Amino acid sequence: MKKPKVYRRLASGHHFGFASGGWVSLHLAPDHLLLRSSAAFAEQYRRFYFTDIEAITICKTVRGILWNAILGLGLFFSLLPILLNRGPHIVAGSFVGAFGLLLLMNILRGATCQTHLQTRVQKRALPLRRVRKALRVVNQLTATINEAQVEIASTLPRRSENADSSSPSVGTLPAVAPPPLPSQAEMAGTSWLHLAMIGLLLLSGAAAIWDAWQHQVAIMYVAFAGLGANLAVAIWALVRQRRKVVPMAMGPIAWVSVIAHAVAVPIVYTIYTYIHAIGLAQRGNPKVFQTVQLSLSELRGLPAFEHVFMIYGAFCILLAAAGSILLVAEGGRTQRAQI
Amino acid sequence: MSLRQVACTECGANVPPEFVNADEFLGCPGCGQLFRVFTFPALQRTMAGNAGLPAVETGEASCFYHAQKKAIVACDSCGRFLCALCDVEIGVSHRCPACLEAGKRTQKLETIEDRRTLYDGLALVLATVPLLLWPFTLFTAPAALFLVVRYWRRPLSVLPRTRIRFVLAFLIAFAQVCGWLFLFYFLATNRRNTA
Repeated sequence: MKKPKVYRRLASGHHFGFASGGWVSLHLAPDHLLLRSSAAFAEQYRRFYFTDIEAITICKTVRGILWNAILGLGLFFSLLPILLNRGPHIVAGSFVGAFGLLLLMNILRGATCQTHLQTRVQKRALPLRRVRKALRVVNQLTATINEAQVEIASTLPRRSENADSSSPSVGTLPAVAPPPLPSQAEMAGTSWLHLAMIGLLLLSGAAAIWDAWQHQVAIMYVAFAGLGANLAVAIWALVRQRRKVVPMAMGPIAWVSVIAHAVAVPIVYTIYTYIHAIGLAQRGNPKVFQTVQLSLSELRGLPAFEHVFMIYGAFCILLAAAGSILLVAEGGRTQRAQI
Repeated sequence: MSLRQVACTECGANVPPEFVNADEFLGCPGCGQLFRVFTFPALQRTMAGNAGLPAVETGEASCFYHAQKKAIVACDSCGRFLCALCDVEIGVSHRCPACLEAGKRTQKLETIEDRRTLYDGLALVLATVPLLLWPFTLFTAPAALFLVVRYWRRPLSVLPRTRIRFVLAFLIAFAQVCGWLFLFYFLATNRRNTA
């Protein structure tokens, strides 16, 4: 029996260290937070139940500014040879691009921070190292934790009445209207992107098969556009399913689509192109070697390419059909479980 | 019974009350570090020690482990009555010490597991990385196959994780073993033909 997906990833990051380096990630479950630390082939877990969480602290750090300074210096020293030589320089240009990109990313990600979670017996650092993200996650958690601690909160006023007036106060909590605890259905959310992925697979598959039969230029462009769009949508779906729980059947479909489009298709394209280029060169047409990057039309004109298109189209349609069947089956199971 | 406070993560100074649940980042009075504190009702909760209540009246349920103590809850695993001393609260569930120990030993109680080894990742690395120095695959491929067979049914990560690594490791290692067998067969027949 497949394990139900109860955890939703909130954040992840890398922590460096000689003995304890590895990945850390924070996951949300219906009644607790799970902090996973993985190093090599082992994982360690720490669970923080909502009823035990006392405080979350976000402390601003200067790490982002330091990185900006380091990357800015790198960018400056990479620009120097270009400025001094007054001409393009491929090595320096590459470094300028790399440093510029990293600097831009660091600026866009915003200010850095350290986030700590406090319970009665421990204080742990969370993998929330950007202020914007930390605030977003904490705001999301605040409502859930307050809801879980509503019983504790209800006992507090009575205690404060009985307590000595000189006892230290830790601030009053704002009255928060507790929203319901995130249920599995709410966490699953809509998977419209995955449905779009299936639709796109069907469309491009049908276009590829039609082109293999009819040899129409317009359809060919639709099929190639569908190939690119499939790759983009599948990557987007993968990113989305890491942040949001989607129907279990959709995860593998997105992975298969990404792997097939990102790895198999370019490899097949390259091998196919080279084989035909070599074949044509052997038949006395050496110019083909100068045009390895065949245009789409030329590629389409290669002998037996319609078979490749046919296979691609069949693959897309089969994948979409498998996704649809799994989705329908999962929907049926969910309905039966609800009944 | 004093109420607890939140301390600055940099200098350890107690956070003034006006900092708690503030809408903006404020500087710590001790070190000037900018921070925000979000507190929850559990911070103000006082935890008094409870050694278990005595069975005050005849006919009341008593703890399975302490006959003189009054039972307050039943174990969610075995159903035994437990006093406040024996009750181990894990989230919303209650367990007795015996079930807790058994669950930890047999890895059946997922909510108390704090460590797992990912044998699928280990098998996949063992099946793929030695390909860079292929003669080592003579030893690593069988080892990867052993790991796949031995730990196939072992629970993987607590988080959702498929067995695709095991499958890939098995296929790659199996191909390597077949390759070695073919090589040995080829060498043996070649030598026989030469002789």
